[in-house]
Amino acid sequence: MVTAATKPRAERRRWRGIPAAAGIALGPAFVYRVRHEEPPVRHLVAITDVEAELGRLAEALAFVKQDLLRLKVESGGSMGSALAKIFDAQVMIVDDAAIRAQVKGLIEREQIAAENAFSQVLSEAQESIAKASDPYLREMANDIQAVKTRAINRLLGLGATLNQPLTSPVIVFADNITPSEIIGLKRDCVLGIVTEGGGQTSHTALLAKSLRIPAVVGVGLDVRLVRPGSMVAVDGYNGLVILEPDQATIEFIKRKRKRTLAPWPKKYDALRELPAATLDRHKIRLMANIDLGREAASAVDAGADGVGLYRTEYLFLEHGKYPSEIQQRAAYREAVEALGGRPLVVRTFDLGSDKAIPGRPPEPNPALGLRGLRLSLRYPNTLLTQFRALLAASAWGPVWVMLPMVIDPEEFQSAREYWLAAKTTLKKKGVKFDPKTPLGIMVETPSAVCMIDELARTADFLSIGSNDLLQYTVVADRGNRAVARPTDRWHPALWRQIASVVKAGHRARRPVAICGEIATDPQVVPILLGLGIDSLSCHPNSIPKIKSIIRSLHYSDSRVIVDRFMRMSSLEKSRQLALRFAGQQGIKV
Amino acid sequence: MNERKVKVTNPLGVHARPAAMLVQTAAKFKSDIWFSKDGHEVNGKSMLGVMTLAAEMGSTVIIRADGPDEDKAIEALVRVFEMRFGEA
Repeated sequence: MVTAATKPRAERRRWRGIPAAAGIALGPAFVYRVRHEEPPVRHLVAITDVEAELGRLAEALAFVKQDLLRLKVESGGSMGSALAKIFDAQVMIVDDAAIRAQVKGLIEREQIAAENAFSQVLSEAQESIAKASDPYLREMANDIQAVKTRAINRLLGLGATLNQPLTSPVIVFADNITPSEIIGLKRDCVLGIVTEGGGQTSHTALLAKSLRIPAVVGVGLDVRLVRPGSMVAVDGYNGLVILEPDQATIEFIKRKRKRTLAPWPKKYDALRELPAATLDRHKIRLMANIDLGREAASAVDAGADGVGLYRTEYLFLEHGKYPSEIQQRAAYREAVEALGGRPLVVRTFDLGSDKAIPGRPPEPNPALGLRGLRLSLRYPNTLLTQFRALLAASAWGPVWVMLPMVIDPEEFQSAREYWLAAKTTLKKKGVKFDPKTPLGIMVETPSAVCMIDELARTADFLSIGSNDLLQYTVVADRGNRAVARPTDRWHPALWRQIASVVKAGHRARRPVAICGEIATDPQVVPILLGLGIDSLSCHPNSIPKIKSIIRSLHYSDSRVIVDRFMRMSSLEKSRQLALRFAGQQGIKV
Repeated sequence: MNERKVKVTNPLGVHARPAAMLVQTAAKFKSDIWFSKDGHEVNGKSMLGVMTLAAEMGSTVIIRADGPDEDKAIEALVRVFEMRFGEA
């Protein structure tokens, strides 16, 4: 028998990745291609810039060469030899000393950036080849294009962009795809998403979940080896991708898809109207995380007590820029009205880092860069606009406004001044709003946890963002599989911080919520409950399950277990204890 | 300086793979090497240059070499053409 490992990669049919969004999809593969956009011409100002540009060019070409050589190796094997030769030819273009000399000459003579010079030289070559009458020769223009795109994308720090809008339903394969690109696709045309990169909590995975598009991420398959148009099955429950499935598999997948089309098991229906309260009547608020205003309705449908986290970034991505006050007000109003009096917690734009703003130059270390509230304070007009739109929406129902990535009380104070200014403007204009609209913070930086006593005194509410807090605490990028472990969430360093935030919040009589992915983990629920969390916010799809768990527990038991849990001094011990308790309580993952 | 005329006899012409073979062969020699077709001359050691020749089947290419090993270079390159780049 030939094992999967010894087969050439492209001939393997089944691939495993990280299940990112539940659901089953079957359809033709759409291989996401890179589109080349002419980079805007950038003129150099100083003589020393020429050297710098040549350095950038050398770095980019070295990177592209490595990438091509990797592709060549991965495409090796029986069907790969022809493919491998194409990569050879592309490597030779990259290595071409004559091209480098020409590009260098252009940079020096015209004083333009490396990407402009490189683009110009390769475009000229493409043009002369395009004149050939033989279609086979004209094909070579594609090799040049491929090299050009890779190098320019590298020089500009860009990933791929989508070739054209979709017209028929497909499964999108990409090395990586950003939330904005998913939004850019026509939703109805995306049956499923498969990506090479990304982890379970990447923003792409989160968005796929909320749009209910089955997705598998972190698949070790090079998407460029997938034949466009070939049939593919995606199992978002188990993280399985099957290329060109046989008839029996297709039948199986179709049956499975039919079974899972129902939103959730019937037994959850009865739960909808019941409170999220333990057997000993300790009640918490179970809220939903949403990305789009129209999802508020599905939160209510799932039996949520409101929306605990409305991520407004997607509003930004939908418009491709900061949405206007009117556009924002309409979106917030839609959500408020759908909730029928239940609270809507809205997080102001949390852009930057992995939710990059189009057109902004990439930062060398975006996770520690201009992002979140820091970014909003740099451009206070965007914050003022959003504050005004949110306040105006409060006339239609309860709106809680939450600031992301707060570092310290001073930063909160600056934001608060804009908050008061927004109120003054609305008053002057005679726009109605609820003057008691709370302004709270996300606690997701170790710095905010350190200063939580002061923050709790001034902020109206606290909401722990466990994803970022965890990544900054254990110093592990959650999208980087080399460092981020799924078990990291049990780290005592995270839990001690969560406990101190709850304590400080309650001392100051402020409600404390948690709204990270962690709240979706059934085994974590008893611990959060025992810590005295007032509100738990998770994906709408998880609400029935989390609610049923809460309703099966005793608050008093959770408190006892948390006492022991908080004394644990290692990740493994914490995890074992929590898992054992969850097991005893009959909680299944 | 030395030069020779060759005819492209393989059906697919000088596409990416043959171009790569020509450039790899040319790179082995110290001499400067050029290919020209219909008055369009390109650097024989440049992949992109040779690709832009767009030499189709039946077209005539002039190989020109200038340097200490120019004769050997021309011979080797002519052989690559005559082998039809290893294609049937």
